[in-house]
Amino acid sequence: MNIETTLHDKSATITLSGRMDAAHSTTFETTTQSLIAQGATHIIADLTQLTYVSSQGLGAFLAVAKLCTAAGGALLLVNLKGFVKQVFDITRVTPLFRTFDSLDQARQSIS
Amino acid sequence: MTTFHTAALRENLPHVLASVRQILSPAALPESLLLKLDLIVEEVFLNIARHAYPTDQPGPVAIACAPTPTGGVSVEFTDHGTPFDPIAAPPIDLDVPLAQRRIGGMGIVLLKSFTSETRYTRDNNTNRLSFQIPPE
Repeated sequence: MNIETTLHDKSATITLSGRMDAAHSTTFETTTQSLIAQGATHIIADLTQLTYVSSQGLGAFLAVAKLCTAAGGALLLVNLKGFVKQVFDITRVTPLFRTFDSLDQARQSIS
Repeated sequence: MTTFHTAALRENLPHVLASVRQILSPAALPESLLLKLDLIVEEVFLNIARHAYPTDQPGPVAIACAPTPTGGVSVEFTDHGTPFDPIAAPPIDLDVPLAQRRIGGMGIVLLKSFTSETRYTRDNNTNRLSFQIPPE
Protein backbone atom coordinates (compact mmCIF):
# COMPACT_ATOMS: atom_id res chain seq x y z
CA MET A 1 0.00 0.00 0.00
CA ASN A 2 1.15 3.54 -0.73
CA ILE A 3 0.36 6.47 1.54
CA GLU A 4 0.77 10.11 0.51
CA THR A 5 -0.07 12.98 2.81
CA THR A 6 -0.51 16.74 2.56
CA LEU A 7 -1.21 19.00 5.52
CA HIS A 8 -3.08 22.32 5.18
CA ASP A 9 -3.54 24.12 8.48
CA LYS A 10 -5.92 21.92 10.53
CA SER A 11 -6.85 19.49 7.80
CA ALA A 12 -4.73 16.79 6.20
CA THR A 13 -5.36 14.76 3.10
CA ILE A 14 -4.14 11.19 3.06
CA THR A 15 -4.21 9.22 -0.18
CA LEU A 16 -4.37 5.45 0.29
CA SER A 17 -3.74 3.15 -2.64
CA GLY A 18 -3.51 -0.63 -2.97
CA ARG A 19 -4.26 -2.94 -0.08
CA MET A 20 -4.96 -2.05 3.56
CA ASP A 21 -4.09 -5.32 5.27
CA ALA A 22 -2.62 -6.28 8.65
CA ALA A 23 0.87 -5.03 7.75
CA HIS A 24 -0.22 -1.70 6.29
CA SER A 25 -2.90 -0.80 8.82
CA THR A 26 -0.17 0.01 11.36
CA THR A 27 1.48 2.39 8.88
CA PHE A 28 -1.86 4.14 8.36
CA GLU A 29 -2.31 4.58 12.11
CA THR A 30 1.23 5.89 12.75
CA THR A 31 1.04 8.28 9.76
CA THR A 32 -2.22 9.67 11.06
CA GLN A 33 -0.91 10.03 14.60
CA SER A 34 1.95 12.08 13.17
CA LEU A 35 -0.46 14.35 11.25
CA ILE A 36 -2.53 14.92 14.39
CA ALA A 37 0.65 15.68 16.35
CA GLN A 38 1.42 18.32 13.69
CA GLY A 39 -1.93 19.99 14.37
CA ALA A 40 -4.38 18.26 12.03
CA THR A 41 -7.84 17.67 13.45
CA HIS A 42 -9.71 16.71 10.28
CA ILE A 43 -8.21 13.99 8.15
CA ILE A 44 -9.57 13.41 4.66
CA ALA A 45 -8.78 9.90 3.42
CA ASP A 46 -8.93 9.55 -0.36
CA LEU A 47 -9.85 5.91 -1.03
CA THR A 48 -10.12 6.20 -4.82
CA GLN A 49 -7.22 3.81 -5.40
CA LEU A 50 -7.74 1.56 -2.36
CA THR A 51 -8.71 -1.92 -3.61
CA TYR A 52 -8.72 -4.05 -0.44
CA VAL A 53 -9.32 -3.72 3.28
CA SER A 54 -9.13 -6.56 5.82
CA SER A 55 -10.71 -6.62 9.27
CA GLN A 56 -7.41 -5.33 10.68
CA GLY A 57 -7.49 -2.47 8.19
CA LEU A 58 -11.08 -1.75 9.14
CA GLY A 59 -10.00 -1.60 12.79
CA ALA A 60 -7.35 0.96 11.80
CA PHE A 61 -10.03 3.20 10.22
CA LEU A 62 -12.02 3.06 13.47
CA ALA A 63 -8.92 3.75 15.58
CA VAL A 64 -7.97 6.75 13.41
CA ALA A 65 -11.55 8.06 13.52
CA LYS A 66 -11.47 7.88 17.32
CA LEU A 67 -8.13 9.78 17.35
CA CYS A 68 -9.55 12.51 15.11
CA THR A 69 -12.67 12.82 17.26
CA ALA A 70 -10.52 13.09 20.39
CA ALA A 71 -8.60 15.92 18.65
CA GLY A 72 -11.89 17.74 18.02
CA GLY A 73 -12.17 16.79 14.35
CA ALA A 74 -13.19 13.83 12.22
CA LEU A 75 -12.00 11.29 9.67
CA LEU A 76 -13.70 11.96 6.32
CA LEU A 77 -13.79 9.38 3.55
CA VAL A 78 -13.67 10.17 -0.16
CA ASN A 79 -14.75 7.65 -2.81
CA LEU A 80 -15.68 4.71 -0.62
CA LYS A 81 -16.47 2.07 -3.27
CA GLY A 82 -16.08 -1.49 -4.50
CA PHE A 83 -14.78 -4.19 -2.17
CA VAL A 84 -13.77 -1.65 0.49
CA LYS A 85 -17.35 -0.30 0.63
CA GLN A 86 -18.68 -3.87 0.77
CA VAL A 87 -16.55 -4.57 3.87
CA PHE A 88 -17.56 -1.24 5.50
CA ASP A 89 -21.25 -1.93 4.80
CA ILE A 90 -21.30 -5.52 6.09
CA THR A 91 -19.74 -4.47 9.40
CA ARG A 92 -22.01 -1.39 9.57
CA VAL A 93 -19.02 0.93 9.81
CA THR A 94 -20.11 3.18 6.91
CA PRO A 95 -22.69 5.19 8.96
CA LEU A 96 -19.94 6.11 11.45
CA PHE A 97 -18.19 8.24 8.80
CA ARG A 98 -19.00 11.27 6.67
CA THR A 99 -18.45 10.13 3.10
CA PHE A 100 -17.95 12.25 -0.02
CA ASP A 101 -17.73 11.72 -3.78
CA SER A 102 -14.82 14.12 -4.26
CA LEU A 103 -11.93 15.71 -2.37
CA ASP A 104 -13.37 19.17 -3.07
CA GLN A 105 -16.68 18.26 -1.41
CA ALA A 106 -14.87 16.91 1.63
CA ARG A 107 -12.66 20.02 1.90
CA GLN A 108 -15.64 22.39 1.52
CA SER A 109 -17.48 20.58 4.32
CA ILE A 110 -14.83 21.58 6.85
CA SER A 111 -13.95 25.06 5.56
CA MET B 1 -7.53 -30.14 -2.39
CA THR B 2 -3.94 -28.92 -2.60
CA THR B 3 -2.25 -28.57 0.79
CA PHE B 4 0.76 -26.54 1.90
CA HIS B 5 2.33 -26.09 5.34
CA THR B 6 3.87 -23.08 7.03
CA ALA B 7 4.75 -21.84 10.52
CA ALA B 8 1.92 -20.00 12.26
CA LEU B 9 3.78 -16.67 12.29
CA ARG B 10 2.22 -13.32 11.44
CA GLU B 11 5.10 -12.46 9.09
CA ASN B 12 4.22 -15.50 6.94
CA LEU B 13 0.89 -13.95 5.91
CA PRO B 14 2.11 -12.62 2.51
CA HIS B 15 3.47 -16.11 1.69
CA VAL B 16 0.15 -17.71 2.69
CA LEU B 17 -1.93 -15.29 0.58
CA ALA B 18 0.35 -15.72 -2.43
CA SER B 19 0.34 -19.53 -2.12
CA VAL B 20 -3.46 -19.73 -1.97
CA ARG B 21 -3.79 -17.53 -5.05
CA GLN B 22 -1.16 -19.57 -6.88
CA ILE B 23 -2.94 -22.87 -6.14
CA LEU B 24 -6.24 -21.45 -7.40
CA SER B 25 -4.84 -19.59 -10.42
CA PRO B 26 -5.78 -22.33 -12.97
CA ALA B 27 -9.45 -21.82 -12.02
CA ALA B 28 -9.32 -18.15 -13.17
CA LEU B 29 -11.73 -17.07 -10.42
CA PRO B 30 -13.07 -13.50 -10.45
CA GLU B 31 -11.04 -10.91 -8.53
CA SER B 32 -14.11 -9.98 -6.45
CA LEU B 33 -14.24 -13.55 -5.08
CA LEU B 34 -10.45 -13.67 -4.55
CA LEU B 35 -10.60 -10.45 -2.48
CA LYS B 36 -13.15 -12.09 -0.15
CA LEU B 37 -10.89 -15.14 0.02
CA ASP B 38 -7.84 -12.96 0.84
CA LEU B 39 -9.78 -11.33 3.67
CA ILE B 40 -10.97 -14.60 5.21
CA VAL B 41 -7.57 -16.32 4.83
CA GLU B 42 -5.89 -13.30 6.47
CA GLU B 43 -8.39 -13.37 9.32
CA VAL B 44 -8.15 -17.11 10.01
CA PHE B 45 -4.36 -17.31 9.62
CA LEU B 46 -3.73 -14.32 11.92
CA ASN B 47 -6.10 -15.83 14.50
CA ILE B 48 -4.05 -19.03 14.47
CA ALA B 49 -0.78 -17.06 14.59
CA ARG B 50 -2.12 -15.12 17.59
CA HIS B 51 -3.88 -17.82 19.61
CA ALA B 52 -2.82 -21.35 18.69
CA TYR B 53 0.74 -21.65 19.98
CA PRO B 54 2.92 -20.08 22.70
CA THR B 55 4.63 -16.92 21.38
CA ASP B 56 8.10 -18.44 21.75
CA GLN B 57 7.12 -21.79 20.20
CA PRO B 58 5.27 -21.19 16.92
CA GLY B 59 3.85 -24.40 15.49
CA PRO B 60 2.71 -25.55 12.08
CA VAL B 61 -0.46 -24.80 10.18
CA ALA B 62 -1.68 -26.69 7.12
CA ILE B 63 -3.79 -24.88 4.54
CA ALA B 64 -5.71 -26.80 1.89
CA CYS B 65 -7.74 -25.21 -0.88
CA ALA B 66 -9.47 -26.09 -4.11
CA PRO B 67 -11.98 -24.57 -6.50
CA THR B 68 -15.49 -26.00 -6.11
CA PRO B 69 -17.45 -27.41 -9.09
CA THR B 70 -19.87 -24.48 -8.86
CA GLY B 71 -17.21 -21.77 -9.20
CA GLY B 72 -16.47 -21.08 -5.54
CA VAL B 73 -13.55 -22.03 -3.31
CA SER B 74 -13.20 -24.63 -0.56
CA VAL B 75 -10.59 -24.04 2.18
CA GLU B 76 -9.46 -25.95 5.27
CA PHE B 77 -7.05 -24.77 8.00
CA THR B 78 -5.51 -27.35 10.37
CA ASP B 79 -3.32 -26.64 13.41
CA HIS B 80 -2.32 -28.50 16.57
CA GLY B 81 -2.49 -25.63 19.03
CA THR B 82 -4.88 -24.43 21.72
CA PRO B 83 -8.56 -25.22 21.00
CA PHE B 84 -10.05 -22.14 19.32
CA ASP B 85 -13.40 -21.97 17.60
CA PRO B 86 -13.67 -18.60 15.83
CA ILE B 87 -17.29 -19.27 14.90
CA ALA B 88 -18.26 -19.45 18.59
CA ALA B 89 -17.03 -15.92 19.38
CA PRO B 90 -19.87 -13.79 20.82
CA PRO B 91 -21.28 -11.23 18.36
CA ILE B 92 -20.23 -7.62 18.83
CA ASP B 93 -22.74 -4.78 18.89
CA LEU B 94 -22.58 -3.15 15.44
CA ASP B 95 -25.24 -0.54 16.14
CA VAL B 96 -23.43 1.75 18.57
CA PRO B 97 -21.86 5.18 17.99
CA LEU B 98 -18.16 5.52 17.17
CA ALA B 99 -17.14 6.23 20.76
CA GLN B 100 -18.52 2.87 21.94
CA ARG B 101 -17.59 0.90 18.86
CA ARG B 102 -15.00 -1.85 19.45
CA ILE B 103 -11.90 -1.82 17.22
CA GLY B 104 -11.77 -5.62 16.96
CA GLY B 105 -14.33 -8.36 16.52
CA MET B 106 -15.30 -7.58 12.95
CA GLY B 107 -13.43 -10.50 11.40
CA ILE B 108 -16.09 -12.93 12.61
CA VAL B 109 -18.84 -10.74 11.13
CA LEU B 110 -17.06 -10.88 7.75
CA LEU B 111 -16.36 -14.62 8.10
CA LYS B 112 -20.06 -15.31 8.62
CA SER B 113 -21.00 -13.03 5.73
CA PHE B 114 -18.48 -14.24 3.12
CA THR B 115 -18.40 -18.00 3.87
CA SER B 116 -20.78 -20.93 3.77
CA GLU B 117 -20.49 -24.53 5.02
CA THR B 118 -18.34 -23.14 7.86
CA ARG B 119 -17.36 -25.88 10.27
CA TYR B 120 -14.97 -26.14 13.24
CA THR B 121 -13.95 -29.46 14.74
CA ARG B 122 -11.50 -30.36 17.49
CA ASP B 123 -10.18 -33.91 17.68
CA ASN B 124 -6.85 -35.56 18.49
CA ASN B 125 -5.40 -32.20 19.58
CA THR B 126 -6.18 -30.80 16.15
CA ASN B 127 -8.19 -27.69 15.24
CA ARG B 128 -9.81 -27.97 11.84
CA LEU B 129 -11.70 -25.04 10.34
CA SER B 130 -13.27 -25.54 6.93
CA PHE B 131 -15.41 -23.22 4.84
CA GLN B 132 -16.39 -22.31 1.33
CA ILE B 133 -16.50 -18.98 -0.42
CA PRO B 134 -19.57 -19.43 -2.64
CA PRO B 135 -19.64 -18.22 -6.25
CA GLU B 136 -21.17 -14.79 -6.81
